Amino acid sequence: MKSEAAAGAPAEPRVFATTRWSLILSAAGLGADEQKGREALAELCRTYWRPIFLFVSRHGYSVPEAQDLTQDFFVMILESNWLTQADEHRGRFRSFLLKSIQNFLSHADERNRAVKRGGRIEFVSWDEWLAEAPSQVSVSAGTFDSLPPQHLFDLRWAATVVEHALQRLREECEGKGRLRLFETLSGHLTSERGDLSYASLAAGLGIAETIVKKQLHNLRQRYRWLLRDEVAQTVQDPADIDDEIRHLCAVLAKTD
Amino acid sequence: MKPLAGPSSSVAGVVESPGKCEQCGATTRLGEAVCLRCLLKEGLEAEGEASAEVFESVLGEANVPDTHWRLGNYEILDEIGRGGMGVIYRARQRHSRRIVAVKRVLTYQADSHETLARFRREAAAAASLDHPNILPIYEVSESQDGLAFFSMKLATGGSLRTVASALRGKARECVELMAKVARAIEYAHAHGILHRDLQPGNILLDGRGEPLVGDFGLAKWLDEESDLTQTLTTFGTPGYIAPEQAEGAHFSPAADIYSLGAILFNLLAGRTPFVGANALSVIRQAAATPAPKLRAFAPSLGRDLETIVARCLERDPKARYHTAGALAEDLERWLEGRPIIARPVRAPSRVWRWSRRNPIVAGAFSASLLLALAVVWLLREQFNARTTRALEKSIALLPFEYLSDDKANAYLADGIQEEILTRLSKIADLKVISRTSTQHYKSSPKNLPEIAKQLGVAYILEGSVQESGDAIRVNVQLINAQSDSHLWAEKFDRKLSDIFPVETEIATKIADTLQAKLTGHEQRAIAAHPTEDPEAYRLYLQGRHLWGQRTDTGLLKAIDYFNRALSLDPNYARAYAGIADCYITLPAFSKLNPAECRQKAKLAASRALEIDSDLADAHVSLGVLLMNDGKVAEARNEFLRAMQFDPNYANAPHWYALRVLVPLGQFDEAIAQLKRALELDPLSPPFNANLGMGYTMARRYPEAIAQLRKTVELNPAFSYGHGALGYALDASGQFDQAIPEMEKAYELSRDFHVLGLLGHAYALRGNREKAFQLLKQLQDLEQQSSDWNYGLALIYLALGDKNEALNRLEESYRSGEVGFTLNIKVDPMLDPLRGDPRFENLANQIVPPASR
Repeated sequence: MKSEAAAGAPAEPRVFATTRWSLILSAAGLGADEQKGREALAELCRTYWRPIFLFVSRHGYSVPEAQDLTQDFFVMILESNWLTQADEHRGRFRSFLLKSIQNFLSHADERNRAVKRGGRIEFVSWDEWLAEAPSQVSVSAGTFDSLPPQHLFDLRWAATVVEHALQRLREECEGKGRLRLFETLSGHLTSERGDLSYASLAAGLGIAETIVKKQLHNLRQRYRWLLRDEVAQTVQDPADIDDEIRHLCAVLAKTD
Repeated sequence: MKPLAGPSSSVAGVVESPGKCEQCGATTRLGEAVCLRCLLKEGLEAEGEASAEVFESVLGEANVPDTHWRLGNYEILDEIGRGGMGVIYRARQRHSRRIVAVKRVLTYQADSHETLARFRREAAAAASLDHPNILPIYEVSESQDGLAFFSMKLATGGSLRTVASALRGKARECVELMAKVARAIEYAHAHGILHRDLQPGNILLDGRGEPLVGDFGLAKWLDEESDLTQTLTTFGTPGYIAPEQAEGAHFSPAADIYSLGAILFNLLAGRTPFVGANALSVIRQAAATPAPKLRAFAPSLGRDLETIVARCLERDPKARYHTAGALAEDLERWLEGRPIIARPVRAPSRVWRWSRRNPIVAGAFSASLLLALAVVWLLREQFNARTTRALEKSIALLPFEYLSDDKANAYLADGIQEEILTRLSKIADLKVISRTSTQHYKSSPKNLPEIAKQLGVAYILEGSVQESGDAIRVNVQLINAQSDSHLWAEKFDRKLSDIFPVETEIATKIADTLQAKLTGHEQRAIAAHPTEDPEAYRLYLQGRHLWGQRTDTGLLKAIDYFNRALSLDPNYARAYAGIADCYITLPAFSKLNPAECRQKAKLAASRALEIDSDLADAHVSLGVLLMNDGKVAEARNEFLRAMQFDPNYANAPHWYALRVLVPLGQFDEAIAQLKRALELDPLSPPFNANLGMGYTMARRYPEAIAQLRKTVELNPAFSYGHGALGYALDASGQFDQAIPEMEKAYELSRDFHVLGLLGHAYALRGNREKAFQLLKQLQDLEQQSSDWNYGLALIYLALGDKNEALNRLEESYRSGEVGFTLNIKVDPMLDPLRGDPRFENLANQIVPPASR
């Protein structure tokens, strides 16, 4: 049957796709490609700003201060030759970004921040960023205060990866006019087979149970693809994807 | 959801977790429900992944199309593309079967009110333009679930971006196209609309290759009411964006002309005038260096074309073509082989520092991400023709002066002014400002135009009242505020018993002068006599005067006056309405039993309406009371009738919003109504504060805080303003800033309501001891009046004692407090309780699920 064949079909080979991080690393300092590299970098920063902001906040800064620092940090990354200065073994984007923000913060007080808040033009529209992609992660009480900042960074990073994948899945469903389906089934992407009440889902959607099962299976598989793609964008070597996911899972384990 | 450790974690979206995941035991969730770890581990599953094609094909098999796949009158066919804010579809119009393009906001972004409002502005701006080279907008509408969309002509020829390479080397065609585009922009400018994001992607082409300028997405529409214009997020596309735009200079037509030049440059040369690694670098170059010469890239082009383009790209806006039309003309001259007007720039160009401040300091992200350059921008002083048109039928009545010596009767001047106002207020075709906004002005101020602008009116009525014995002399004059010229003046000498016809005559004359159209019903309403007994009238006026002062003794005395008026004239409906108003207001200012007061208010209001069913204030009173009893549909009716009978009665939209719309979560309409109330009573401190409260309940915190800061700035001694600001700051997690405001509110009024807020804020900030202190303080007060239990509930909730908080809320409901508890379904402070069956049960009792 078609569905089985589809399920068994090999995923798109990843080797040929240039991930953002690998593009950035290879393009650093190289003329025409540099533009592409910078665009890719900006795109990644835009996705992963929350871990940075949270990391900065965790160091005790107020919201306006944290916003300023986060903004300055991104400006520094995009404006300067940050990339070319990095050493050869740049590892993954996440760890590299973490090292950079750690470094950045340690010099924050020394830096001359002569420009006062009121007088300058802001290049980050916080309201718009917050409104565009509202995000909420719920953690056990005390986690925020007790977790070391770099773990908090990783936690928020994990959330961003997953959220972004879900968002893309949502958009894909919407593009095909199946938003309602997504909204009904997306909460069950990880549910155990036995726990699900296919009957009630089917009733709510007005379709047969077998179709619900098939669609959920389809959504899961696509979600996996998207999730792995998200992670892939931030590593150099596709072989690192599994390891990166495991690392993030391990961080989440520490929060309990 | 309450933030764990303060505002910064909540900005980054980290809150407290509800519990462990059933499958893996993790306590970290995405949102409130879904387990993050399980979702992450899913990425390691060996079961396989689905490519896009496979996924879409299986997805399409499910026969569960989205119900909103039909948008209004349009059947959606397929998706054409995604813009910065919305999705564009190809669609078929139902009745005409015409194929059009439909653009709507992406659903996941629909929560952003700024996005939606920007979207609507785009549509409204573009729809008003009618020009062969501007993409026509057909219809602006909203789908059933409230998503805004508009339909427009489907451009089948692509855009200048897609055809750019095909046009390379065809200078004439490029110039022809751009000349038409320039004419279109000239037309738009003439209608007061700037495009501000002209770039090849926005210039679409129809099937015959005719250019159609579209996506006036960032068109600035000078809107007198637009508070969105306070934060201008723009950005145009680097390469085409005029250098002064990035600095936040006054936006002008010159910016569009720069963009036109840049587009032409791009078409002819194959690249934009400036290129760079990112938006910042491009803009910096554009600001700092003269544009390169066209012929450096396309040597075969003549000098004239180079000159035209160079003139568009001048860094000094004033050096460019003054109008898009002038540019179009020069392009047309070039096409016809005639000499052009523009002269070549002498080289070297003077070094023109167009900005004395430091140029752009921080970095920018690549514009391909459509990130915003946010510039704080205030446009208060800009009005255009559209605004003045709306003002023509608007008037404010300044306080009448009382000229006699015996000041004990000074209330008469107020009373007569109010009677005239009440009559005018019923005329739907007029905008009449409420008394609260005018009452603190002098009777004959010197700076009329200024005052008129503050109030938003074109006309002012001044007057004076003089008594001698039995006779009353009323003097009035109608003034055109903008020109500060008198239109007419009238004098009336009557006895008090004959004063009503005078008031009617004045009102009618004003309506005539302002050319307001009156319906038959309105004419009759204006001519009505509230009472025939002059003594009763006097007593009534005194009662109203006392009610306006809002003190507990004052209110009780007012009731007494109204009752005395009624003993003289039992059919004096307005006196009953006055009693109702007093009883509604009393609980907040005294220790009387709220439930009893409400009962008396209801009786009085009903009686008033029995006698005179048109009384707007009685309808409003009744509406408020009905809502307190949970009778939603009936309450709504009362408010709607009030607004129908007295379109300028500001209290109607105000209470309708606060007591019906907000508790029901109908925020868009609530805010519209609150704004309407404010329009009618612009200086009213409570109205200003309540608009802020409305935003807070709608969780539009930035807007709430901005509005409340404004309120507090205008009325620093208004305790409620500070309290409301504190509330908004608390709700948005900014406890450090909330507390000083709340302290200030308490300092100003010693109002116990604030103690509850303070306790809440302190507890959430982590000062539990202080919160406990306040708890005790509140408990010791033994207040049994309105909202006391609510205050306690807040503190308990913030301290983490949900059970006690619920107890208090239930008690609040039982004891008849209504005030803040009415917002139980929407109040951000009560979020931690949501989902609890006891809470939900209580909420449904207070605000029964509506059967619309």
